[in-house]
Amino acid sequence: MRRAEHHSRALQTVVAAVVVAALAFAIALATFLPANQDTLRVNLNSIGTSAAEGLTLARGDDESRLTRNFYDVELELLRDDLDHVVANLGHARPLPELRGRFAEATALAGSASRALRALAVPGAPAESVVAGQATLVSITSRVDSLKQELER
Amino acid sequence: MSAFLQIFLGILTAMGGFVEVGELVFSVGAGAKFGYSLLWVVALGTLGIILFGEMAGRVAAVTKQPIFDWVRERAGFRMGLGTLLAANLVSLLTCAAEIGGISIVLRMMSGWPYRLLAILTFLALLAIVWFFAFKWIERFFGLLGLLMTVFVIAAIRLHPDWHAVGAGFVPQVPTLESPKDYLVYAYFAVSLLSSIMLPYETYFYASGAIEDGWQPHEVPMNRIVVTMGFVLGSALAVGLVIVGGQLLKPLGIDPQWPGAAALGPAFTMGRAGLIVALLGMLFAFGGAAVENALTGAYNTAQFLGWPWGKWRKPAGAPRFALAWIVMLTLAVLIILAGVNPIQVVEYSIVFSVLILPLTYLPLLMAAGDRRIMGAYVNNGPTKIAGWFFLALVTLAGLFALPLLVVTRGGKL
Amino acid sequence: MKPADLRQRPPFFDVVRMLMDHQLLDADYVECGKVDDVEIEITDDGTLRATAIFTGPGAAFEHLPGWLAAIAKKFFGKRSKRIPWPEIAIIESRIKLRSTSEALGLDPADRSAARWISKLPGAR
Repeated sequence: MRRAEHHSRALQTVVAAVVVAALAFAIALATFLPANQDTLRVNLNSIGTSAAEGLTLARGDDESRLTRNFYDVELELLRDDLDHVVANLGHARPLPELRGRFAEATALAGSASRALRALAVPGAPAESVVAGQATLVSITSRVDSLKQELER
Repeated sequence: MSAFLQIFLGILTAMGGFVEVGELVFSVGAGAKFGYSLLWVVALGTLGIILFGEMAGRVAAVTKQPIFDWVRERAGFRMGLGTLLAANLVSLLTCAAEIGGISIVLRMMSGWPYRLLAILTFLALLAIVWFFAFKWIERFFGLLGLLMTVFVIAAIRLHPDWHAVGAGFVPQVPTLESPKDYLVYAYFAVSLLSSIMLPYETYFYASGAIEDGWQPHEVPMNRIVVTMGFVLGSALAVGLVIVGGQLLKPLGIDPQWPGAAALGPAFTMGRAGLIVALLGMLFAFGGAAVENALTGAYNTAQFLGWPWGKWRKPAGAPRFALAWIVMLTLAVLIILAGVNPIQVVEYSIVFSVLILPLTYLPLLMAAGDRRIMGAYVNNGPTKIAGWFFLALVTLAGLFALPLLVVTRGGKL
Repeated sequence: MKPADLRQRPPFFDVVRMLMDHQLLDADYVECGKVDDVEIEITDDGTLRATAIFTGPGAAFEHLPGWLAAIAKKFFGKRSKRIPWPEIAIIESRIKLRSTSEALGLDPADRSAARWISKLPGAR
C-alpha cells in the first residue's frame, strides 16, 4: 500500500470514529437523559436574545434606521425562534426540581412572542408598542435572574 | 491586461470573496459572546488559509494538476473515494446554507416568500454559472462582495476601544463566568477557525488556477494576491467581530440570523448602511454558493478523470456541467425541505474542520515533493508552518463534533 | 509541457506510482478517465511486462470491498475498457494516449450526455 494510503486510512478511521462517537453521545443525550439545567439554560438564552433583539429592532424602527421589510422579517424570525422554544420546553421531561423553572420559561417565551407580535403591527398605537417594549424589558431581566439562579 | 491590473483585481476578488454565511454568523457571534477575545483565531485562520491557498495555487500552476488529482494519485481509489464523498457532502451543505442565507437576505429586502426566493436564487445562480465564463463569475461576486466593507466602516463608527481590539489578537483564554462558558469559547474558536479555512477554498483555488491557465512564472503574483487579498478579507471578519462585540454584546443579543449583523451598519449609517450590508451579504453568499457547487463538480470530475472546467462550454464537459447542476439542485432541495440554513451552516462548519486534514495532507505532500515541484517546492519555513497547521486542524477536528454536541451548538 | 519538464526516469518501472490512478489524456489532450488497473504478464524468461491498462467503473470498483463493489456496479455499471500498451504515447504525471477517446471507445457517457446537453442554449 502506498504511504499516502496509510496516512489516508489512518485519518479517515479517526474521522469516522469521532463522528460515530459524537453521534452516539448526542443521540443518548437527546433520548435517554431527562431535560436538565443545560436544556433550560439553552432555551433561556434563546428567550433572552430574542427579546433583546426585539427591543433593539423597535428602537431602530423608532429612529427610522430600518426598512419596513427588514424590521418585519427579523421580528418574524425571532417569533419563530420563540415558538420553537415553547415547543422544545413543552416536549421536555424536566427533572422534578426544575419543573417550576421550565414552566416559567415556557410562559416567558410565549409572552415574548406576543410582545414581538404587537411590535410588528404596522401603525400600532403608541401605547401598545410601549407596552410591548416594557414586556420585553421585564422578560430580559427575569431571564437573567433565572440564569443566575441556575449557576448557584 | 497589465500585470498590475490583474494583481489588483485578484486582490479585490479574493477580499470580496472571503466572507460567507458561516463566517459571518460565527464572527458576529464570537464578538457578541466574547467581545474581542477571539480575534487571534481570525488572525490564525487567515494565516492558515493564506498558506494553503498559496500552496494550492502553486501546485496547480506548476503541475497543472488540481487537488483531487493528487488525492487519487497518492491515496488510490478506495481511500480517495472516502475523501471525495466527505468533501462533496460538506460542499453540498455549505452550498445549501449559502442559498438559504441568500433567500433570507432577499426576504429582508423584498418581503417575498422564502421558498419562492430560494427557487429564484437557484435559477439565477444556475443561469450565471451556465452562461458566464469563470473569470467573470469570480469578478462579479468578488467585486460586489466588497460591499461587505460597510461592516468595517460600521465597526470604526462604533468607536471600539482599539487597545482592547489589539489585545484580542494575542492568543488567550479570557476569564469567563462559568466552566461551561469555556466549552462555548472553545467551540467558537474551533468553528471560527474552520469557517475561515473552509476546505472548498483550496479545492476551488487550485481548480481556478488551472481554469485561468496559470504558469509557474506567475507563482510570485499568486503569492501577492493570496496574501494581500486574504489579509484584507480578514479585515471584513474583524469588522464583523467588532460589530458583535461593540453593539450586540452590550445589548445582550446573541445573533441567530444574519440580519442581526446588519444592525451594525443600520445603527451607524441608517437605512443606506443597512441596504448596502444586505447587498454585500447577498453577493458574498452568492459567490460562496457558486464556488461550492463548482467545487463539488471539480472534485468529482478530477477524481474520476472526466473532462472538466468552465473554460470548456457545457457540451465540451457535459458530466462536469451536470455535476454542478446536481449540486445546486440538491442544495436548494435541502432548503425547500425547510431545514434551517443557519443550522446547516453550523453542521457544515463542524464537518469541514473534520475533513480539513484529509484535504491538506495530500496538498502538503505534493507541494513538498521536489521531484514534481522543482524549484517551486515548499521551503523550510513553509514546510514547518504547513505541518503546524495540519496538526492544528487535526486537533480542532477531534474536538469540533464533541464541542458541538456538549455546547448544544454554542447556545449553552 | 516541455522536454525539460520530463523527469529523469528511474532504472525501474513502478507500476503503482507511475501508472495506477493517473489521469489519462487522449490524442487531443482531453481527459478520458483514470488508470484503474494494469495488466501484467510474466514472459518466458521470468520478467514482468505490462501489456495493457484498464479504465472504467468496472475496473475502479474492483478496488472496493466486495459488497460495496457489487452495489456500486449495480448503480454505476461495470463497464471497463482495455487499452493495449502500444496505445500509450507518454508516461508522465499524466498518461497520454495515441488515439482519441472516441476511437478507443472511452467515456461513452460523456458523449451521450453531450448529445442532449448541446441542444440547450449556451451549451456550445
